[in-house]
Amino acid sequence: MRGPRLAGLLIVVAVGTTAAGCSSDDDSPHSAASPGAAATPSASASTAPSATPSTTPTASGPTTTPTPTTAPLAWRKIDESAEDTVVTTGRWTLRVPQSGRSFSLDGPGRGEGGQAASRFHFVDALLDDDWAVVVAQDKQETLPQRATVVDLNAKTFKTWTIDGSSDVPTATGGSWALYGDRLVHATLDGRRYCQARVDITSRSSTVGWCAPPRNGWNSPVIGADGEAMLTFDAHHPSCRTVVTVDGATITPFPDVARCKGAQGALLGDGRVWSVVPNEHRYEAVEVYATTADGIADLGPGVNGTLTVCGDAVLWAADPETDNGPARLMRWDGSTLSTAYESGRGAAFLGPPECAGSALTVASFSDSGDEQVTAPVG
Amino acid sequence: MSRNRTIVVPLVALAALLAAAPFLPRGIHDEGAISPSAQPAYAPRTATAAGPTTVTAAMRREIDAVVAAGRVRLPRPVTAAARARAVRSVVRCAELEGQRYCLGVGWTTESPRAVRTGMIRALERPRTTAGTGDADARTVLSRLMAGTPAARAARDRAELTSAARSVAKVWLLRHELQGVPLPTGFLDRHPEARVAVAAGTRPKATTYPKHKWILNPKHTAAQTRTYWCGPTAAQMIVWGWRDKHRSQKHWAERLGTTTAGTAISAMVRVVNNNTGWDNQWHAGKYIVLDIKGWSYNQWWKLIKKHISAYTAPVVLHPILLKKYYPYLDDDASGHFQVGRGYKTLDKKPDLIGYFEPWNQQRFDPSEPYIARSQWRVATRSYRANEAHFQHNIGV
Repeated sequence: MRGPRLAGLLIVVAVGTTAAGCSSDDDSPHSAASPGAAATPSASASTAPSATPSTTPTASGPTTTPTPTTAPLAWRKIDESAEDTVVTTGRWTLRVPQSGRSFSLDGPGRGEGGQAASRFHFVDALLDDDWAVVVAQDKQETLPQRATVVDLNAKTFKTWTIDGSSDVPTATGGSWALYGDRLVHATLDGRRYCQARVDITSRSSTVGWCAPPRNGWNSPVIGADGEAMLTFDAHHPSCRTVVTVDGATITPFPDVARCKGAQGALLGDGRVWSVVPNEHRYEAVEVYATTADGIADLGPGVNGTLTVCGDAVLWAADPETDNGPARLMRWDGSTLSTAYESGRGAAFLGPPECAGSALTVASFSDSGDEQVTAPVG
Repeated sequence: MSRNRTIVVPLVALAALLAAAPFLPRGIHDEGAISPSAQPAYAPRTATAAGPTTVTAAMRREIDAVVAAGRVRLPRPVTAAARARAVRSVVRCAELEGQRYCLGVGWTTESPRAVRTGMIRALERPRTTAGTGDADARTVLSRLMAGTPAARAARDRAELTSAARSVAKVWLLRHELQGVPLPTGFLDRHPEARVAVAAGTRPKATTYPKHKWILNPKHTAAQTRTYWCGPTAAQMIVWGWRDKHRSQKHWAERLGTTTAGTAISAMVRVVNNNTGWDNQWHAGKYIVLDIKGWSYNQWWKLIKKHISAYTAPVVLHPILLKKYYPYLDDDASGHFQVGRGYKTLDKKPDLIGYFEPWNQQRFDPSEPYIARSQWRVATRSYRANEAHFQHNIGV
């Protein structure tokens, strides 16, 4: 989450006291920006967002608002505390207890595990059909992260490590993503904050896209159809741009309101993205997708929860009413559906975790907490 | 004016004043209502907090006993068993007129054994996640153990005496928010907790507006050191009272903040000593209140009461886990935020407004800058507060 060693890379303009940069009216929770013309996004946008930018897509085609159907996946309750991190493919289950001090990996006829090194704790648990990756980070975020990669097809428990001594070293923090044998993480190239791309099978790494000085990236979302992520600059708030990643090249998503991006994903020939309509409600996003005819407004979601899994994009949505269920929404390129509903009362979902051919989500409500998993397409 | 008239008018005025005297508000404890004194009728205060409670002889005896029990030599604990013994030595609880206060923990309804067990568990399972400045269990323990037996005794006595002065406030909060009946004769014994009402009438049920927020969103700051969420939250709270701010370094010194962070008890002390948010027209003396076992609705009513009736900020005390703050890059430690607003409209999920000291971008190029003033679905903040190993709040 933080890294004093990296702090110099990203010196924010205001030191000490920093006004929120808003009036009392702008500060209100429902001061959503009014629709208006939005500028074309830029990969390295460096100008501050306007005071009331539009979050409406800029596509020339019509915007539709599909009504969600109810199509729950074949959910199975996992016998785990909703406090622990659990991801499962169905065959393999990777667990990290809330303390973050250890992990366990259970699969057909095998049970393995490991302890974090002194002062380290596990912060990410990634699982695919063939690989598991657990990422450890030190408390002060002054040391490079250490990732343990496990080959699930090996007959014995075989691991190898990606860390600060790797050809493309890890950074002290940052996002990780796994899909198939493709792994991405953060690295430093001189003073630039870059993306490292790892081919797990060949154990080879390359430096991908590097952010301009004082810029950064996060939220990589990888699927069968490609990779997307969020880039941002050092303005207050940051100007955020959703981009497609192809090696060391990024291309901004067209149609996304300038500087308002949150997350993105590629699905078939289309794109799905979320934007933050109100900078004072950073957790609340609006989700959009391209369709054959234009753009679909897929409704509200929770920032940080968009993921691609199987042949669909999924994200968490807060209850529509004060006593309603939290929902996991699913978009398969043409149909919007509710894939999961929590219990009622004080309900919300954790970020859904995709692991190869299965999806896991933690659910919290007055009716009881649970973690559930379901196979995906 | 004739001389006779000069004498008569003041006499008439004096007579009128004496006749009306029984009906006039009697200082700060009667909240300004007029009621016949011949037949006093009282209701618990709801519009404002209770004033300071007088420390009774019984309270002093209890404080003496709890302080005396701590006058032992405490070797530095290096094993888990030694830490557990240390917790049993320093986390001691006082029963103050039916309410329980535990040193270093605050007001709680848990048994002393359960309080200690919770602390020992937190020590056994240390979270080594990145910290933003909230003291973890080991730091809390080490600060409770610091000093000679005499120095600890003086510190414990000051903490317990300060707590005793808040007994009426605690009772009123439990009565209004948790439905706990007040003890028989409580309002007779505690003028600081009551409001006079007309005989035979019942006070109206407390209602709050659907939305309200306080503090100027321009009076916000981002913490300038990774472990200064406490000083920055304190800076913003005091700024909201004085309309001018002092440096985070100043507040770090006042709070006793180290690289290991800030304790919530220090946050409450600094708010009480440096602002008027603790006066009787606002929240009264701030206390550390354990919310374990509170339902969401009780917690939410506390937030609404604090913002609407007290018009005073809340010291929020969540743990920053991704499941509660999904936009974060990874899990982090306990944290302090400034609660300053709420919104309940159109049967939508409740929203809580707060000032966020943590500028994630300042310390990490993997996260964008977000505005300091934020609103979010309140249930996540409730769960994040409940999941903290201390599960308490400064109110």
